[in-house]
Amino acid sequence: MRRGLHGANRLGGNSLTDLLVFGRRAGEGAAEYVKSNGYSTEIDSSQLETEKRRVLEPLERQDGENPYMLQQQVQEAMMEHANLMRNEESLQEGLEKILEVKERVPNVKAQGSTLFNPGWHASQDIRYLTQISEIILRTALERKERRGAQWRLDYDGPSDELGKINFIVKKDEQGEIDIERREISPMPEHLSRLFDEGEGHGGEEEGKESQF
Amino acid sequence: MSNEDGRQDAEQKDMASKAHANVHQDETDAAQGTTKLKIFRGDGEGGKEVEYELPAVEGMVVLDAVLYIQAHQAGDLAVRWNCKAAHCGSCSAEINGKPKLLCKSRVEEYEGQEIHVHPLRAFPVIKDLVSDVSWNYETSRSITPFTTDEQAPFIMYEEDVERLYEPKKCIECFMCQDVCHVLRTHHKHPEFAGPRFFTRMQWLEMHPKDTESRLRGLKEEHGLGYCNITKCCSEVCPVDIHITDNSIIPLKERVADEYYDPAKWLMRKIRGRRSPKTGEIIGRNGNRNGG
Ligand code: SF4
Ligand code: SF4
Ligand code: FES
Repeated sequence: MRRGLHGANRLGGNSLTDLLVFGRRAGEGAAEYVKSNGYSTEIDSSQLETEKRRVLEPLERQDGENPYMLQQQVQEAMMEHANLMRNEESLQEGLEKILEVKERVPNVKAQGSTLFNPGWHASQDIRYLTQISEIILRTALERKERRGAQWRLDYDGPSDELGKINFIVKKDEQGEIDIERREISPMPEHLSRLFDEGEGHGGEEEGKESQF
Repeated sequence: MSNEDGRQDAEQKDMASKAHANVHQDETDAAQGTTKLKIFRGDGEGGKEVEYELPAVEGMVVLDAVLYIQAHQAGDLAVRWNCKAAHCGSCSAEINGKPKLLCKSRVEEYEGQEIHVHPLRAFPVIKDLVSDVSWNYETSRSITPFTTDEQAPFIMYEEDVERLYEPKKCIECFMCQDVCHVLRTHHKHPEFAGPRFFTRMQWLEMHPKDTESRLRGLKEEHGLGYCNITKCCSEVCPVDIHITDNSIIPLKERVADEYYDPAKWLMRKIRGRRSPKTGEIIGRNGNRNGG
């Protein structure tokens, strides 16, 4: 996302309020949509079996990686390379570290049973942690500008062209990350009136560096 | 942990003293010897203490130690935590028989003593250090929530609002519930809401804009009378709420005033009950629509 309600500032406190408001709306909307559409909830049982096997595998495997250690490597790589201040080289290095962990994820091993088992949970989480980390790094590399919390040291300021674009991340056919560039629809008049253009958007012509 | 290709071995060594939690490399260099923890391992059916040894790190809290053990020695060790900052109330458990927030209790505090870590005892154990506190949420739902006929923002006197700050500090760690003998020893769970909820009801009852009365519920379904003011709850509260003095006693006074004052009792017999807040007559059984 280029900007949500809080502009290009994507820091924790703001995104929390975002998720409380929009997360709730999205959840309610999704429930409403399912109800009103009468979609069949029937699921192909072979798909269920495959998923079940995948989820249980870490418990059944004889040997494998410790999920807590992979988690820690992801945390450290992201702290070092995907912090506020970033540049192409460091982001690239971070991406390589994450891709290396990604390769090892299918081989995680958890001990114990399915009852309240944090190690087993970690062996599921690590898959999503590496995935979201890869998304963050790839989109940060793609966004070749300095904007808000994307403090690219290798760019001087925001680019007008990228200012008009959102990145939409999808899975491609191989299940890998696919980044689509989507033009942002212009801000409705009643909202744009609230912004002084200079403060709200920034842009090269104004020579502003950030929209904090 | 198994390690077939040596990589894991090296890695483990590399990270040996960096817990999944707060213990980082630089801190490890300051590690002085080792420390031992005896942790309850088991579930609702039973279990036993298991001893673990780990590198001692200056300033380490018991939660750090537990998470270190989890990351390096016992991957399936169950513990509940979230904030690591004594704010969320998730990590409550018992250290040497006393309820504590694991993230707020330093290992050093127990120097010269063994450290035994167990789950909260007043509730059923799920696994290891995690007990099932859902009874508390059910109890919470049985309390009439804030009710008002006015539209916020409210205009209130500062001294009225100040009284609400203290009960509002509660982080729902349920350690007061765990230590209270009415729940812990006498298992009066269905008839006794417990100190945490007396605190909550005090907040509601003292809110200047709330129009409900919960006194009848306090006397009957929530069992306020079972409390014999031992103050154990206040002693363990991590946010220093004076539960007994500032929540329970004022509520007991209000209940006594309402139900055990003979003059009031007679008035109620004759004219029905008056709301203690609004003075409006609300019926003989505390039912707003009369009755
Ligand atoms: S003061 Fe009352 S509520 Fe608190 S621990 Fe003692 S008996 Fe329980
Ligand atoms: S009143 Fe204190 S001890 Fe009880 S649940 Fe709240 S914070 Fe915990
Ligand atoms: S982890 Fe939140 S209070 Fe201890």
